[in-house]
Amino acid sequence: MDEARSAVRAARRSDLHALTDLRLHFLGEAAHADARLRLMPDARDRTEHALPVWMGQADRVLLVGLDPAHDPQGPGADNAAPVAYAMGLLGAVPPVLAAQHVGEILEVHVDPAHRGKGLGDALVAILGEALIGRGAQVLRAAVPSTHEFARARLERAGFAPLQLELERSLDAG
Amino acid sequence: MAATFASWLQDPARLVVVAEEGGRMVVGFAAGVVLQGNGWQIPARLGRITDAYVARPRRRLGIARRLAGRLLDLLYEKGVGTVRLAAAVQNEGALAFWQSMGWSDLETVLERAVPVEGRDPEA
Ligand SMILES: CC(C)(COP(=O)(O)OP(=O)(O)OC[C@H]1O[C@@H](n2cnc3c(N)ncnc32)[C@H](O)[C@@H]1OP(=O)(O)O)[C@@H](O)C(=O)NCCC(=O)NCCS
Repeated sequence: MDEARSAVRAARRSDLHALTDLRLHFLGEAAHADARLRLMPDARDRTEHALPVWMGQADRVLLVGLDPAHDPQGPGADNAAPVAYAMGLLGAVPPVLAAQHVGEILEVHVDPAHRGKGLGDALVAILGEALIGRGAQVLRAAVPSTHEFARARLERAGFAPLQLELERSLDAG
Repeated sequence: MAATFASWLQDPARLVVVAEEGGRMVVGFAAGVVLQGNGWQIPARLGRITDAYVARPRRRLGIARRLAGRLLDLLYEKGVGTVRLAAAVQNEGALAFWQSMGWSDLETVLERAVPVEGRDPEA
């Protein structure tokens, strides 16, 4: 994991293009796992506009992962395109309950060509550390319920199921 | 809590329904809200049920079924086609109730506790 860890860094503005592509892939995979998570037609535009805003937010953590096979100190490392990303947010649960800082792991995605190199686990670990460093008292992550693989990965990282998000369509009757 | 309810009753995006017994005693309630979608995933507009509660001695009499039905009708009237809610995995009664009403699993929220020494004491 050390090699993968050193391939993770904070996202920069120069990553915008690659990050937009990665995020659209991430959303596309969720939509594939469950059609109820289908994309809106302007998902790409909105992502392009949202990413620079997110990068400037103090309560948000946006990380990218580079190909661990490339030396992070080597020549050209500065313009190497990210092949993975992760995003987290420091939130608070509704004030009716005891106020608690929740570190939310919102999105984690590794380009399929670069899976199996430890990037996903490294991103989750570093994102968790960053959220805890900003005061998170607990970490949470939501995965599509049909996405067994993502869930198994989180359980291996010490996460346990807390709640289910249920849905009902009213149009179907 | 009373202040929260009072603000919900004023808010046009909030819906609250109650079950009354004998015209004076409230034995259950359900509340929902109309929200915008996140912008990249459907739907553009969705309803969320935030609360559903029936007093213990009045459970399994079909009260929640009627409360939820009325709340869904009101959400539908507000132009909502999709409704979501969160239920704790340990709350087997609530999960059985919603499943019996045709709700199905969308996402699983997982949690990991943070060891106290890992936290920033200033936070
Ligand atoms: C969940 C709750 C609102 C259900 O209220 P209720 O009025 O008892 O529910 P209903 O009588 O309308 O139940 C309708 C159907 O749901 C199912 N159901 C409801 N409660 C159930 C339980 N505890 N176990 C198994 N099935 C249950 C049954 O199929 C039931 O039909 P049946 O009684 O003919 O078998 C109630 O148990 C409650 O207030 N719980 C505490 C608060 C809570 O957990 N709220 C939900 C948060 S997501």
